[in-house]
Amino acid sequence: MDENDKNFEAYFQGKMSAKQSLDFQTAMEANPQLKSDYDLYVSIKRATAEIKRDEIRSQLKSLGLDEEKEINRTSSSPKNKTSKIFTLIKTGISIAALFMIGFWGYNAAQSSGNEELFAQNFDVYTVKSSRGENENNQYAAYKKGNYNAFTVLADGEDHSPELELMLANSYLVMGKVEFAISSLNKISDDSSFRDQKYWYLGLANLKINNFKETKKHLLHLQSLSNYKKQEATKILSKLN
Amino acid sequence: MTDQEVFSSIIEGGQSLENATQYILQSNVGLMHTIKSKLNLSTVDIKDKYADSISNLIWNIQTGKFKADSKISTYLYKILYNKSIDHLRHISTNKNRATVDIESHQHINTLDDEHTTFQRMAFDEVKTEILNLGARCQGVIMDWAYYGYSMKEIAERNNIENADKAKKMKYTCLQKLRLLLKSKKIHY
Repeated sequence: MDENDKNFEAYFQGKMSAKQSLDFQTAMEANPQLKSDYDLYVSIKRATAEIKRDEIRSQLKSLGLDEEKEINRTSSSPKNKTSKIFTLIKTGISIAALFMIGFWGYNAAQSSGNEELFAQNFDVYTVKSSRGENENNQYAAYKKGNYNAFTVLADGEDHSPELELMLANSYLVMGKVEFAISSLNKISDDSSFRDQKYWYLGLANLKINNFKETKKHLLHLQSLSNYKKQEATKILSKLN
Repeated sequence: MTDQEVFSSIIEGGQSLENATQYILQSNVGLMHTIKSKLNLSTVDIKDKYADSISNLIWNIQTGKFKADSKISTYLYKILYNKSIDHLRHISTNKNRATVDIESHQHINTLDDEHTTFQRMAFDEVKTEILNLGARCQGVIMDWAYYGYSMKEIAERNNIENADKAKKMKYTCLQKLRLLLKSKKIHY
């Protein structure tokens, strides 16, 4: 953070002493460029707060408010107890039946919904580098989309992080999700493929309906970097 | 998280700010239920007002307007209640709806009412143009202005080589933003 940023933040947050604050105001009066920079800083602060607010709004859209429960709670009264008990039994039976149908339906819908969500977000990693003759064969197979051949060629070697990422992608294409997860977990967090590791770990778990792990990896990715930020937010909001 | 922890996490910024935001969002969902049924608001409206209220709470902590002199949940309730009442007033053509509990509508300064209409229009333009700058500049500007990450952290989070290049990138993005605003006759 440069000196101006530090002063802007301190003034904006009201952290300056009375004297510092007065000095800063005087400096702004004497220097129109400084005043202009500060005004832009405040406008950006405000604008970014609104962008964040919109993100929270999107996040909340997927949150289910238990309206039924609310309506029942606010409309309860001690009258007609017998009728209420009867209604409760009927409701109980209906809920149990609905639950069984719903559970089956939810699983089916959720499963196909997440297949779609996976398909919308999964793009095979595009190779950036190529080193050595052996690797060239492997890379060529991968680039041509011969994923099965690629996994055979790459078998039994010490893999670079990029090669692990390519293996994971190949396994994902081939539907061998557990193998993909195993490859991704071998990528170190120090590697330059760290962000891709968590993105594809999120997607791999999405593919096998392991939502807890999907959320864990995508939230972790968001805490680390802005890589695939919008896509991760969309998946997370759909899963919530 | 205690109120004090939430408070200091918001001031600290960065990932702590994000964690505190998610904590506030999840631990106060009950307020939405209460005000929704009290004022008969739609689900869509109460969710929007809840998001606005959380945003205002954070803003008021960051700008020193809220100094933890009451519980965070109490303060958030007041903001949400006020916003919901304002919303009802705005949309209601039905006099019955205007008979909601106006007496308890104590005013709290929020993001929306501390600026003039002209300033708000300028802020809207700034927001639009930040979104128009593209994902890369948007990421850098959000990390710098909203989260307060250091240049080193911004470089790591946005896949930029080092802190110096991140600083240069921030400068370039701000220059682009100024130009876009200038084309809309907003000068900074």
